[in-house]
Amino acid sequence: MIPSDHFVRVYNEMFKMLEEKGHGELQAYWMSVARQQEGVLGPFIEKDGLKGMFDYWDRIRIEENCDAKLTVTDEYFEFLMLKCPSLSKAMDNDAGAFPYYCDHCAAWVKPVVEKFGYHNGYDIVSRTEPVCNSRIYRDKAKAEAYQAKAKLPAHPYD
Amino acid sequence: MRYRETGEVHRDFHLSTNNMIHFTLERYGKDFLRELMRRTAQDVYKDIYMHLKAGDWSELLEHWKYFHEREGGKACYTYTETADALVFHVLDCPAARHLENKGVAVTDEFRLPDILMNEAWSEGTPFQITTEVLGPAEYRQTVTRRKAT
Repeated sequence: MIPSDHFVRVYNEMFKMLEEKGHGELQAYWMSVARQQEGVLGPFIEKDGLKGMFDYWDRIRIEENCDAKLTVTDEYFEFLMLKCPSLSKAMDNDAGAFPYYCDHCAAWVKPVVEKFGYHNGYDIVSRTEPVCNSRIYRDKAKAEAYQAKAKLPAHPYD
Repeated sequence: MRYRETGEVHRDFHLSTNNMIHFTLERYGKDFLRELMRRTAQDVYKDIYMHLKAGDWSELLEHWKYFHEREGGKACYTYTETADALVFHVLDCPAARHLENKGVAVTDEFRLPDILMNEAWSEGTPFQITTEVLGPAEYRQTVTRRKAT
């Protein structure tokens, strides 16, 4: 059994191998993750919109042992990651971290929320520090304005 | 043990593992998954592999015990250890059980990472590690010393 605790280190190796085949192969995998995650996150969004996102990611915050601050308003859902357990494990790893490890997160979140009419602005902040910021808006212009101010904006499919 | 996580467990990562298996097999075939599991067994779990190369299975046994117990409790496995063999019998795999609880079929391919990782852990070590799949959530891993030729 690959322990739940260690999936991200296998994921990290998967990213390296796919990037060796070509960036398009890595992007194709991210899209398959998005399709899988649509079945997990989707019902929360369908049920409660932005509040549903809060509920989904609050469970993630607990189960994945994240140090994070979550906020929901009438306009957006915000996720401020203060210490990401996923990048932390990819880095605390005898095989070493994939340099673009962080990009996978926006790569699956953006397609899923867009399917439900929402838009994600994503600031990776740093690929070597386990912090990031993200807001999901109903209003596309506001999401784009949020991302325009990002220190390291996520563009996983560019 | 090199990695010893504590705290909560996000079991939905087993769904992600299942997706990864099917994506790789459908798009690239078994050799790609074999190489992924080789890198995992020998590079990510370098500490376990180096102990095996040195003729010591104790790190592997501790890893198996710790993470099966963490996700499925002590009752999910048994093991026997002699001078020549270690048999680790998973009676109720927590990963397979989670898939079933989520309504996801446990296919034959779901056990393939274990088979391939055990093959990779055997490479260049004094041990042969075999995996017997006994049911959707039951399997037995046996570590034996290779006979000197």
